[in-house]
Amino acid sequence: MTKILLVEDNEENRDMLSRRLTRRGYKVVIAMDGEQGVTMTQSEVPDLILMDMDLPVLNGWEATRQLKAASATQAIPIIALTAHAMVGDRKKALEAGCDDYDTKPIEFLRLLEKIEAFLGKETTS
Amino acid sequence: MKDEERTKEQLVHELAAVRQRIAVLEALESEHKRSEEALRQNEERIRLIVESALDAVITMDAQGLITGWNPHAETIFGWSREKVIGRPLAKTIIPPQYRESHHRGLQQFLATGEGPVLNKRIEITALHRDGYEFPVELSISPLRSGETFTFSAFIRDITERRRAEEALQRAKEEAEAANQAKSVFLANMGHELRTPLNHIIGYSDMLQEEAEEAGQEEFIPDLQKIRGAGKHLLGLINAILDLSKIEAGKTDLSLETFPIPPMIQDIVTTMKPLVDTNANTLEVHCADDLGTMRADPTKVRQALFNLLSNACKFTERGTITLGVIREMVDSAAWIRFRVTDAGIGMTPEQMGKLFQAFHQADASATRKYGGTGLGLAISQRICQMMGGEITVESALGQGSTFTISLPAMDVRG
Repeated sequence: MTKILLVEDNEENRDMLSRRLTRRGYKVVIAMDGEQGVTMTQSEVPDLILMDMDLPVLNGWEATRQLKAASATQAIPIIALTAHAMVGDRKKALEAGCDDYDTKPIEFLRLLEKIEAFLGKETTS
Repeated sequence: MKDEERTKEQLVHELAAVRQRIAVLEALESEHKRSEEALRQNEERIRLIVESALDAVITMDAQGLITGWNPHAETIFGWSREKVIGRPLAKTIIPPQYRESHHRGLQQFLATGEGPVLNKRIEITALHRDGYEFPVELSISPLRSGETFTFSAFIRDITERRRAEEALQRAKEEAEAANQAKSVFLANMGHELRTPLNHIIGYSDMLQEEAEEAGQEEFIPDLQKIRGAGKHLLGLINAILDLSKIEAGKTDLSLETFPIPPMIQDIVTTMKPLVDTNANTLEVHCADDLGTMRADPTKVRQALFNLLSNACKFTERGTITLGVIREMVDSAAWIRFRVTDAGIGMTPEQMGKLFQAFHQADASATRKYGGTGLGLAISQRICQMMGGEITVESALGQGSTFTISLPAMDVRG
């Protein structure tokens, strides 16, 4: 079963996304902050990471940099989720090493397309 | 006899000469009297001018003693003329901390003929008889009389003016701080408001999916209403943030050169559901020579969407027309998007307020037709940023025509 790591500190967002992804047949594991996100990536080895950027302990930009710097985790696609629909945020996320970017409020179907694009690529490659 | 005659004649002559001299002297004396009188009158006039002046007029001799003190000086310093004549000026009206520099300035002038405060208008602190200090505007001129000098000073109490200036400065600083606080507040509030709102929208979305799966279709219309209201509120918040960003000058244009007809086609497709809502028809007339324009395409769309959705909202079972033309004005090409509706129209008073934030034609229109009251304000600001504007023609009951005019800023393509 395809495994997605959701790194998100907001309880409602976590609940909504994990329930909807679970209903679509994904296995969802959850981390509450950036540091936990990094350790869980190492222990769980997910197929894809959804990373909130405003995280406690270790923010999303830094967690992404660490994951992309380590050979064991750098191949896992990361989709950044930010609350600020700023023009600069997309660039900032991609510079930190994120593979794609989406803004809150999450348009679930749009996000799903992005997830499937990565996982589809994963399975064919 | 002859001698006698001559003597007599001579005497007559001399007498006449004496008389003439007397007449001249008399004339001179009366002339002198007249000029003395004139001088006296002149001095009296000057005295009256000084006495009635609304500035304190003070004179001081080279020793620094007060020699003149007009009534207004009595008013602002609290010293009567009788008490003050002959007193050292420095001890009378100059606060202790400035006396030393006053003394130095005076000595410098007497030695060199130059002084730091002479012959110009300066603002300085003065001392009242009751011991308090107050701000004054002061000008001092030295007057040479013979071997010595007299100094005359015109002094004006500027306590009120200073207070007003300070109040103004304070008000300006407070307004700037408040405006800054507003921007920060809005940015934070935007985030704080959107987070729970996104939960409302997200959960109603999810419940709707679950209701469909569970076959509980009866919940769906209510869930759609929750979601709709949430979306509306989100639109409102975004519009307010948009407007505050524009007004804070924090909106950037992303200019592109793009062909106009495909954009129009795209907008018409997107507008279709809104046009159908009130059973309206949308007619589009695009000129053949539209070509391309250089502007921010997202913002042009936003403004056009706004005008068209207003037209749809205020028209029922009618025709809405979108006309697009390219026009030369003083050898510059302009693109005009003209949206005409068959709606309720407006009075001139209503049109006047149209582009202000939070104004719809009237308050009852907000209840009846919904909307944020911000769309036109935002669209107008956007068009102004791109060097154009939105204008309106309307009459009550006759429908309205809104025109977006934007510079094409591009060679004809």
